[in-house]
Formats: sequence, C-alpha cells, structure tokens
Amino acid sequence: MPANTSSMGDTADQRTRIRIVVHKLAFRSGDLTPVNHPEKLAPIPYTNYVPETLLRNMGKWVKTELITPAIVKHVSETGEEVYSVKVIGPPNSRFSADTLEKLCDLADMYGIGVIRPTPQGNVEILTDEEERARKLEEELRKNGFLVGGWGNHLWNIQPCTAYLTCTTAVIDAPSIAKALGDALVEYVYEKETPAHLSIKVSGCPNACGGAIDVADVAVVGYPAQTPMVDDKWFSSIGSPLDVTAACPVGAITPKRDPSTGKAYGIVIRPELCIACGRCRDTVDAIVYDPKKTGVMVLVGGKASNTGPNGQLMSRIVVPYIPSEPPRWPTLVKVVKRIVDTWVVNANKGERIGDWISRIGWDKFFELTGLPDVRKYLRFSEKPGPLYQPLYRRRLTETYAYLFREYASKI
Amino acid sequence: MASEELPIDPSLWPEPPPKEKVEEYLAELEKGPWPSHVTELKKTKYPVYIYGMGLVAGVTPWATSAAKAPGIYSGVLSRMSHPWTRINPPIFEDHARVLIPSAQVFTTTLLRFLIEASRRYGWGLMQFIGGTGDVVLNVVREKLIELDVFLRRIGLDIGGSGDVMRNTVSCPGPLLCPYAIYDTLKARDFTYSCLIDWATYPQFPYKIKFKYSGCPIDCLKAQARADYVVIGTWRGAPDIDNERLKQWIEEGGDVEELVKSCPTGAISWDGSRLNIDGSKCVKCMECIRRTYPAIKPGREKGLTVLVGGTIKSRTGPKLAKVLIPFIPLPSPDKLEEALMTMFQVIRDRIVPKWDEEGWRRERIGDTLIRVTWHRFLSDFAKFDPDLAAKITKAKPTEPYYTYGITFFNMSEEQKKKYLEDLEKAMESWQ
Repeated sequence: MPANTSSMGDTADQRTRIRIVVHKLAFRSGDLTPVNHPEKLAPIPYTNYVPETLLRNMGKWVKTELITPAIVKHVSETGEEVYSVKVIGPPNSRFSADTLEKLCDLADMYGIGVIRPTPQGNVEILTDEEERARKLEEELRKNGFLVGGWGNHLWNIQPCTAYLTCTTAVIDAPSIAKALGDALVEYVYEKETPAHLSIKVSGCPNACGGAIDVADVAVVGYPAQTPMVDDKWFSSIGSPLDVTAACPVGAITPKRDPSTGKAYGIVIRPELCIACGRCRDTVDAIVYDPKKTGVMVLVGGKASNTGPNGQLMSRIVVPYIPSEPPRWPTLVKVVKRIVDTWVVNANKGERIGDWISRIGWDKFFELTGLPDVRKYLRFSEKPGPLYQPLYRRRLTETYAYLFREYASKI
Repeated sequence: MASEELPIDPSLWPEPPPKEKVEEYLAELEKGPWPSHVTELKKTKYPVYIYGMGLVAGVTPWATSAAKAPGIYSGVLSRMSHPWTRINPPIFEDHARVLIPSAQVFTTTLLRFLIEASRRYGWGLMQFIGGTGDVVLNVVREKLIELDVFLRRIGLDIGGSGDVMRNTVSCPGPLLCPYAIYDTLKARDFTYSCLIDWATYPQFPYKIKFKYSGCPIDCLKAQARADYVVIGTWRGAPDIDNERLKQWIEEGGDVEELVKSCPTGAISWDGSRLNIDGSKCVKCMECIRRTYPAIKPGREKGLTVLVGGTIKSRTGPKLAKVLIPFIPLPSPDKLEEALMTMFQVIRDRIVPKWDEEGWRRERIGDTLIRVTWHRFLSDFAKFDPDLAAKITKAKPTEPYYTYGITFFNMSEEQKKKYLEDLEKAMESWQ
C-alpha cells in the first residue's frame, strides 16, 4: 500500500510531494532447482502482485473516461479513481534497463508504483489523482518519452523482432515501424482519428508482429521468390525430411545419394512454390535474394465484435513494394495515404474495416488512388488463408501445375 | 575466418557491408520524433552493429544456435551471428522468456528486481513485453542457470518456447475494465497450474496457446492468435438499469442515436422505456459502451470457447471457430468449474488426439482444416454425432477473406505493370 509522506506545510502545492512506494513481493524460498524435479514452478496467484488500490476495486469499475489522449480515468463504484498514463515504447518494445529504471522512478514518484506493459508495446503507468496524472504526463514528455494513444488515436505500431534476433525474417520490421511512426506521429496526440487505429508490422508471413489478419493496417514481409538452397550448409544442419514435411504444397523433394539412397539435401520446384516461407522456418540454409524481397500491405481487419460487421479479416491492398531500408519511403507514403484518406472520409467511430464495408472496395481504391488490386490478384469470397486454400492444393501436384499455368494467363 | 572455411556457400549470401554504410543506416534510424530502438539498443550491451549489417544487406544477421540449460526444457532461445557476417568468433545472442504475473501487472518493486537481473545476468536489455505476453530477457549464456534461480526466487519463471503450452495471456479484465464478464486473471493462473506439465516438456506436434478475453470486444485479438480462446459472453439481452438510464438521458445522452447505433435493430424506445430484443442481440457491446453502467452485460453470464485461430501455421491466418457456444457461469466463484468443463473437452479429448494425428509443425487449426470440421467435432472433440452434424450444418459465422492468386503467382509483365501503376498513382499524391 503506497504511503503518502508529505511534510511541506503551507507550500505543499508548490513543491512536488514525494512518496515512497513499497510493495510486497512474493519470494520463493528453499531449493528452487531440486534434482530430478525440473518442472516449472506453479505460479504465485496474481493477487500477490496486485496493489491493494486495484484489488479493492476489482470488478467494481463503472466508468472509463478520456482526460487527455495520454490519460484514461477509471472510476470505481466506491468512488475511488485510478488514472492510467500511456507511454509508447520504442519499436519491438526494446527497453534498456536504464530507460525502465527511469520509468520506475517516475511511477514511484507520481503513481502508485505500478507499470503495466501491454502486448502492443505500450507501457501504462497507474496513478490515483488527476493532478498527479497530468504532472506525470508532463514529466514523461520532458524526459523524452512519447505519450498518448488512448481513445481515437494511433494506439501503437507493433513490429516483430526481425533482424534484431530472428533467424527467419525476410525483411526488417522495427525499422519499418520507426519510419511509419515518424510519418504518423501526429495521430498519437494532436490529431484525432475516427476510431482506434493499430498498425502491425511483420518481417515474414509467419506474422509474429501481432495479428496481421485482424489489424487495421498490416505490413508483412514477403519473399516474392522461390528460395535457393545452400547445399553446403544444408548438408551439415538440415534434415531433408523435416523440410519436405513443412512444405504445404509439396514443392520440396529430398535429394538422394544415388549409391546409398540416403537423403542429403533438398530440391525446391519453382513451378509449385507459393513463396510462403515455411521451409525457411524449418532450416536456416534457405536463401532469399534480398533484391527481390519486399512487403505487402493489408487493411481492414479487426477482432472485436463491435460495429455492424463484427470480426473482419484484413485484405491485401498493395501486394508488393520492393524493400527500401532503412526509411522505406514508398511504403510510408502508401500507408500514410491510406490512413489520411480514412481520417478524412470515415464517420466517427468507424474503424478502417467498417468504413470499407460501408463504402465498398471500389470506392476505397478510388479515394486512395491506389491501383485496384483486384485487377491483378484473384480474390475469392470464401473464408480461407492468406495464400489460397493450400490444403486443397496439396491434393495433387498436377493440380498445382494447372493452377500455375492458369495464373500466368490472367 | 577465411572464406574457404565458411560453413556456407558464400556465393549465395551477401558480403559483409562496409562500415560507413552500416553506421549511416543506423544513424538514419535515430532521427525523427518516434522512439528509436537503435537509440535504446545503444544504451545496452547489444551488438547493434550486427543489426546494422543485416539492415544494409537485407538478410537477417542471425542464425540458429543452442544453449545448454539443464533443467530448463522450454523458454530459452539462442542465436549466433550468421556465418555470412564473417564475425569470428561468432557473437551469441541468447534470450529467455520470462513468465510474468497475470495481466502484466508489475509493481515497481518487482520490475526493479527484473532490471537488476537483466544487468547482472544479461545485456541490460529486455523486450517489455513481447507479443506472447512474456518479457524477453537477453542473457549471457554462462549465467543462464543463475538467472533461472534468481527469477524463481522472486516468484517468476522461465518458459514458453518450443512445442509446449506457451504462456497464457489474459486481458486485464476486472482489474481495470468495467466490461469484464469473468475473472480472466484467475483463469490464467488456474490454466497454468492445471497444465503445468504441458508447459514444462516439449511433447506436442507444435505449440499450444490459451488466451482469455473478458468480453466480446476481445482487445487481445485472441480469436486470431490462440488455439484455444475463452471469451466472456452472456445469453439474451443486455441488462438495463432504468434508474441509471434516466440519469444518463438527463446528463445529455441521446437515445435516438443509441437506438440507431444497434447494428441489428434490437433496441426499441417507446418514449419512456428502452427495450432490447435478446434474440436479435449479437453482443457487439455498442449500447453498453455508450451508456455503461446504465446498460450492462446480461445477467445470464457464461464463457464461449473457440478453437483453432492462428497466423503462423501451415494453412495461413485464420480466425477461431466456436467449439463450445456457452458454458454457464452463474457466479464468479464457479469459474474453476466452468474451466474444468472446458478442460474435459480440450485436455482429455482434443489434445491427446491431436498429439496422435497431427503432423509435425501443425497447429490445431490446421489439423481441423485437414480432417474437416465435422470429423474434428465427432472424432477429436467426441461430440455426439447428431450434435456434430448440426453444428457443421449451421451457417458459418466467419467473415469472408481470401486471396486466390498472390503477387508471386502473377506473370512478370503483370508484376511490372502493377508496380508502374502504383508509381503513377503515387505521383498524383502530394
């Protein structure tokens, strides 16, 4: 329980009241890694971590109110209030220990000593007085943090790890997030959007950068080529059967040693390949030509059941933009265009998906000025995955050949 | 390392880029008002130069490696600098996934311990937090066991990678949100304690994820990201508190607007009384969000269980399908019972069967598509055959979405034409 210590007398409001926040901590004791007992330890119930202010009001909240784009007020039945101040983290929410320590200090000084990171890459600092919340916002800004993003604003841009640690990334996602962020930063605080906007960036079709299929705007790294195989490396690290099994269209066959019949490598048939990147997932010895890789842009997805449409899945609107690190000028221009068009044309409360459902895709391409992608890609109205109902294509290889033939004629 | 000694075929991989270029690219990413990851990385021991090399070359600079961590079967991931970077000896990048308290509530006291851990045993860098809901802490390889002991001491644990049950994520639920229908945090703790063996040993064809969303708004995007999704819901119409509604109207609430905002026209207003038709309600929460607490989620609360939402998988992204439409939750303390009802289907029937029949690296959503929904319901979930047939015939509720031919499958001329069209379109914008 946070304790207020103020001994300022008459000039209390002129000085910053400093309070010491002490929280209980659930320590485990005894031998923590007993021999022959390597199971994970059962979790300590969450009630041990939650401060009493929140515990008292659990499930009793009646009202949520936006104070500024950075502050949200939660009012409880009991009349208690909790303010949550939102800080937008760096791409991939990579925080150094120093920065986190600074946030801890601020959370202790102005808050109730609670920091909540969110899966989107934001950090929420909780406090219990409006005055303190405003002061905290100001202080955060002074310390160089980007605050804002509650309500009808850009919530965050969430990229995957990509070149920071990932072994399978096709393109780099954090640099895209940074470039997009610089272009759209005004939507975090100053300018209002019609509704909640969240952007996801992923380095490859695995899409670890969040739910790209239900994001308002999603950018996905796209190999756009049949991969090459590094035979030399593959022979030492790869397992041909694993990679063969991973391919959803059966485009990979093992290369066998004619004398022993043992598989030592793989062959990828370009005529069957759909560039899904599953083989790259399984083994590192698969090479993409960096000159051919690029990104695609999807828009209009949402997972929440709100609005007239309920859940929507995103659709590709730009199938390919060549990669241009580190600032990605074309991509930034396209995404900014889409967001700006939505901001100008949508009704209040309409997320991108709802807006497009209302006006139709024809109108969307007309308004944004993007080339109508439906002329180039073939869309089907059936529910299914990103790259075509692959499980059906697995049926026969002949079918895949035919499909490829057909595709080249359109 | 001389190029002949490289384990890779150097003709396929890029050359290490020149130093000036790398520094130029990194400096470029430090400009601008958005927080920069490069600035942040420079404050730590992270080898940011390697990241820059990858950025210039357009190829990831990391390759798979393995760290020995006896007793920790999941939760540690290792990388080493890729052979094409020609860094000799290679730099290792190991990180541990730290399971954190439910709803990511960190008291500063706990966070300071974590910061201390990252300084003492790692690079002073962490991903706070990753998409899976756990903190990813960079570790020095030799200090891995020490880190594990330290984390266990402060009540946390390492886990959540490989073919195990991954970290379970819940929305903040009743902790901060007025709409939460059940205690998502308790549900998360309960799941982990019940299925702790699943979380420890890699034993499945691929990963398993549970996600808990408190209401149909689904802030977690659980339906698109988890194998087993639990969403709080209710039966019938939302609960109207007439006193509070009157107060809401007096405070300037627009009833006409409220009636219009309902997507199915379930709300009617006769001048003095608001009526909601429960059979028409699709639980979009629109009226609740506008007027809370005058209109609240209905009294007959319960859980909906969905199965098979994934992005990263064989058949591409898909939304989850409804497996159990409604498990009644008459009072909050019956939550464990309701979850056990769900586990009876998932833990005792679906997962063992999936373990048996699933292909390698195939999540339940893919298996479900491969074996068909009907067979999944009758063989995997072992539903009554009549019920399974009935569910299969019901109109699918998923939204449309799909692409027949992708860019990759287009002919060269088409590709070229598209890019020209795009360029032309962009010229007309300012």
